Amino acid sequence: MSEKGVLDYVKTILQYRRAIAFGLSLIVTTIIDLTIPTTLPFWLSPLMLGIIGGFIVGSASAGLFTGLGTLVGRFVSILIMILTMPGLLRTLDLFLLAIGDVLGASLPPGSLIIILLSVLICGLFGLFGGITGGSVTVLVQYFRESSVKEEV
Amino acid sequence: MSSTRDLYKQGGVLIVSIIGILLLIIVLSTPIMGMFALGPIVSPGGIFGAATGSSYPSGSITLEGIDAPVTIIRDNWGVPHIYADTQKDAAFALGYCHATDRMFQMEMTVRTGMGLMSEVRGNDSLGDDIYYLTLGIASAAQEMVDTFETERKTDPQLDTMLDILDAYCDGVNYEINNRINTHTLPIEFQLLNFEPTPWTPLKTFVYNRLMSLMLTYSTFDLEATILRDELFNKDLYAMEELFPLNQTFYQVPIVPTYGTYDNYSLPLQVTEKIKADIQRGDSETRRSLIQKILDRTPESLDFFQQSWIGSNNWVANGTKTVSGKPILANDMHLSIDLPHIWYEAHLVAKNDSWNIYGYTLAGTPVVVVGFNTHIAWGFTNVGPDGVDWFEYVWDGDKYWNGSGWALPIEENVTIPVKGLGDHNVTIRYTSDGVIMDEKGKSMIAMKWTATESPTYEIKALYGANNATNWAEFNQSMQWFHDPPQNVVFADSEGTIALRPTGRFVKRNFTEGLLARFVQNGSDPSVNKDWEYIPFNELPYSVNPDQCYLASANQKSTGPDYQYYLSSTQAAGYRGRSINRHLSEAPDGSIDVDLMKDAQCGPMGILDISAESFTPFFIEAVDQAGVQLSETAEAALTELKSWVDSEDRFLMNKTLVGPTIFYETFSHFKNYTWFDEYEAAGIDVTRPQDNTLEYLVREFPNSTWFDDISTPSPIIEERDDIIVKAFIKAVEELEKEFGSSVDEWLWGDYHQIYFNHLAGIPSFGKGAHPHDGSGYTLLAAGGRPVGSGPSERMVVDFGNISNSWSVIPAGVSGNPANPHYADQALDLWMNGEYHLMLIQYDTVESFAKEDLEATLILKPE
Repeated sequence: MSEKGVLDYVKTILQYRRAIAFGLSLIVTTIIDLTIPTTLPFWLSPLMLGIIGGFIVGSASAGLFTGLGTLVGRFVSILIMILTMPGLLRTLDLFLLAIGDVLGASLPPGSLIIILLSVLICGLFGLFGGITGGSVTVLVQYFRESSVKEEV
Repeated sequence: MSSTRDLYKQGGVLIVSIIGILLLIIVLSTPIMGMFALGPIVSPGGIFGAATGSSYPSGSITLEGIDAPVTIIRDNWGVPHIYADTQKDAAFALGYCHATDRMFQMEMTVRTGMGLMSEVRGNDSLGDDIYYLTLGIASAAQEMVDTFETERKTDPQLDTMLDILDAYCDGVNYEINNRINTHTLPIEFQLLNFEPTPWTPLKTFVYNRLMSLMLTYSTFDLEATILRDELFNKDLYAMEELFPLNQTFYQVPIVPTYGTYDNYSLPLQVTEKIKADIQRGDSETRRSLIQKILDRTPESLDFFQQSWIGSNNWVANGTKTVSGKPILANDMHLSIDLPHIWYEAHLVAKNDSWNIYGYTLAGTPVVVVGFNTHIAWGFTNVGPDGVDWFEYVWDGDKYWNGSGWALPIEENVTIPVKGLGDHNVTIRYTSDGVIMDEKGKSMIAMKWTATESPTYEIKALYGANNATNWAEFNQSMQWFHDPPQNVVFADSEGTIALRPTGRFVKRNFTEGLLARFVQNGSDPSVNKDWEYIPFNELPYSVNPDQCYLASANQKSTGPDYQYYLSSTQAAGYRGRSINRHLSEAPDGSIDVDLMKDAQCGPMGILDISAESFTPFFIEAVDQAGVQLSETAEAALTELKSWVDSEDRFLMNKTLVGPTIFYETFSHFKNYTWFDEYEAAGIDVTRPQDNTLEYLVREFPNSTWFDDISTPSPIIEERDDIIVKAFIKAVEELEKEFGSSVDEWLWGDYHQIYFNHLAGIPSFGKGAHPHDGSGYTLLAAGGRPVGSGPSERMVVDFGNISNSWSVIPAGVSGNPANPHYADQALDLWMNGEYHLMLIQYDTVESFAKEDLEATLILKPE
């Protein structure tokens, strides 16, 4: 691919960066959740996705969309788990009841609360990851442009 | 300028986002209440993964550790039916199933015994850990590992058993590693935030020793010493009245060949040596030291040793049964917890022609109680005097051993404590036992049959699992050492038998009288070396003329047996009950339904203590001439109508009579004993209720009935105390349930709660109205009931496919699994059973309607 071809490709990406950030996060989060969730710390996968997404799209403005993508991706993966693991909702309900026991409070069974919490936390990491990756990309770009100007 | 502003702006965004990330990570990684952190929990590898095990999948797994494919079929109750080529492969699969269903239970149980609970629960468990390490459970288990490794070279049977145990450990560890690697550990691990450690033979033997802790470890000698010194003023004859050495009142001995106890009393032989022993040392220091030891007893030990623990087993031969073949029944009374102590399993090893069904412990590779196609067996606890306590003269760091000062042997142990690092403990031993505590110039050491030297129950059970007749079974039972059990037996050829087996310290009754108290360790004439009663001198009965045999933890033998076994066996009410039912059943009348009835039907809830005491209660209140309140009159009428009805003395949850009887009985006992105990300043064990029955029947004017707190010359007698107890009972019931006597239902008063092992209420079940009492065959003592029949098994050799089982829980330890408590709530509570499907001896023969899931383990 020629230099012009690459630039065109990058421009295209930048044009659809929000959609790409969203879609990328959604698909990869779902895949990671359902396949290799256990090899990563709880925060690393959405965060890494956000950072990678940020670098790819090259703009902090995509942070929100990587966050949203990660959030929806986590929701989709949980939905698939619910459909394939018959005892999942019972387990989540019991978990919240047990938390209540530990805290000395009487909590209602709440699989929905756990699911929403999980989705929200994942989305937050995606958001921060996207902002971080995007900001670093912008800063690198800025310094690069500055050094080019000085050379000129 | 614009670019510089953008730079700063972008830098600010970066810093804010990094700070936000760090804050999120810190908050989500911080344990809540010092336990789990929210972050790992809400990730898919967290609580979502814990749902693994909430149902049984079908399919196949390829793994290392087996030689040929093994099929695991789960039936409709989740019970695994394991079909393997060899017993070794079957053991691997059993280990896999145990870990799948009971990983948390296995880990927590052995942690208790190994003194490693503080590693996961922190400082709160440190005292308990030190106590269990001091008892020597872990070190005794380690000694078994070491000894067996040497002996397996010359003992082929032990060698085979240990190979099976190794395969079992591999099966457990496969699943542990699988769950750790896939972050799908059971929910409790995630709540308590720790991981299980690999399973080893050591842990299996720790489990073994914990059964001894549950069933033979006893501080009775300490309490008896306090009683002797404080309540009876060191008068052994006075003590004999309430705490008879031979505990014979109304007892029907288990082994029927050593005479009966009609009009029998043991002449007490108080020798000069015993008299001197009683007067030794400073009794105030001794009492204080004993109390110190008793106060250190962990609450978790109470959990293991529920006060109403006991068991029933019985068997009728072909003369008594409808089918002409033996029927055997067993229900072992233990703590009722979720997950449950027993794990039902059916194991088939094609190449060994081995087909066995029964109850395993999650942690051991053998069937503890069950049946194969040839034989069946069941256990009840003997309750022997297997713990000796020795008091030594102490000078701060040395003890007087009878011939000179000796330094204790010291063992340094490190206990890891969560959040606090390592805690070092020194455990000290005399030449005869472990030092439990010391105070001033006195020190007490303890010696226990379970930790004295290696025991071979696993070899015994392996032999039993493979036995095909009485001779082979009996041969294997010589290796069953601790906890000593009354073993009931039946086989397909028609033989029935019952025998106590285990380690019993060889003592005559005079020696037993010395050994039931804290003994003088510094006296060289006190024999601290134990010899056990030889196996062939232990009592037993095979095919007796009465055509049945039964045990319910009562007195093992009649007066003609030469050795002292125990002074603390059960009061005998359940023993009287089952012997009555079986002796009254005409020849050719007993079938499976009658056996079930005796376990949990009307026969099973007949309370012989109610039958013994209630007539005295009614007569005393009737004749007292006391003006009763309207409610008390109604209660008396209700009690009389219960006694006159067809339901007399049945502890049925829908009746009112049992409530009035039980409450009155409780207050009667309290009023009889409390005043003397309070005056003596003691709070220790009270006399058995069959002893009280003896006083009620034979000595209504006994001074024990007098309330010594009332001023002289008022002297209360039996009936005065009964009336006082009845009035108090009515007051208490009125306070709790209102003045409408009709509403004082036994099921409202007497309820069962299925407690979760880690005490997490949401994982428990109940409370539910419950039949029975502490003295019915359907054992249900305490309030709320926390122990009882931990399994009910009826094996019919007339038709082996017509054999039944139920446990008060379910197979799975996963609270989200439908088989977590299904048997408890759907069957056990209602007196129902499920068939034990031993007839499915091949995968192909397993009926589809009985099948829930099929998993195939394939060798790699």
